[in-house]
Amino acid sequence: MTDTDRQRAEAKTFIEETAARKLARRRATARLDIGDKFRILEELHEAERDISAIRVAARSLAPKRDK
Amino acid sequence: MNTKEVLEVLNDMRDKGVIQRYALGGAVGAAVYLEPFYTKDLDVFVALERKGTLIDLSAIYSYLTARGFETKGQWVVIGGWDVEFLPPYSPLTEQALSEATVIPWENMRVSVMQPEHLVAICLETGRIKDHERIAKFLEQEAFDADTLRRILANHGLLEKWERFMRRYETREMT
Repeated sequence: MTDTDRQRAEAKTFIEETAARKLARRRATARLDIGDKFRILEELHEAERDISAIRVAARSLAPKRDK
Repeated sequence: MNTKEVLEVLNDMRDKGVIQRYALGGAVGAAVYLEPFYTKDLDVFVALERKGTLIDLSAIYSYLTARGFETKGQWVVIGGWDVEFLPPYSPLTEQALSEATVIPWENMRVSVMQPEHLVAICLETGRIKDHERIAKFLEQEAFDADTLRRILANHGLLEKWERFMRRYETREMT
C-alpha cells in the first residue's frame, strides 16, 4: 500500500466515523422529549453566562497598556 | 433559568384572553426539532385581538408588569429568559402561528411552530444566523422537504430557496 492509498483509507475511515457519530447523535436527539430540550437550553444559557463572567474577570486582571 | 415558568405565563395569558394564541419560534422553537444550541433570548409569536389596523402589545406588557416581571429593552425577563413578544409580521408568520403544533409536556400544552415554517421564516428573514439555522435543519434532516416546498411556493419563496441551496451545496462540496 502506498502512502497515498493509506491517506485515502484514513480519510475514508474518518469520514465514515464522523457520519456514524452524527447519526448516533441525531438518533439520541430524536429520543429527547421537549422537557429534555428545554433543560439543555437552560444549561447552555447558564454555561454561556459563566463564560461571559470569566471573560469579564480575565479582562479586569489583564495588565493595562501604557498610553 | 426556568422555561416552564415562561410557558405557564404564556398559557395563563392565553387563558385570560390577553393573547389569543402563541407559538414558540426563533431559536428555541428550532431547538425543539434540532440538537439544542445556545440562544440568548426566547421569541414568542402572539396573536392579539386586532383593534383597527394597529397592533397593540400594551395588554401583554400591562399583564406582565402587574405581576412584577421586568422589561429590558424589547424583552421581558421571565424565568431568567429574555422573552420577546412578536406579532406576526407577514402572511408566512401568520400561517406559522395559526398552524403551530401543540406538544403536551408535564401538565401543559406547549405551542411550537412547525419545523417547515421555521425554515421558511429563516429564509424570509435571511440574516447570516438564519441561514446557519437552515443549515442545521438540513444537516439534521429535521423537516419534511415536500411540506417545505409547498409553504415556500405559497409565499413566493421558491426562487430564494433555490438560490440558498445552490450556495449551501457549493459550500458543502468545498
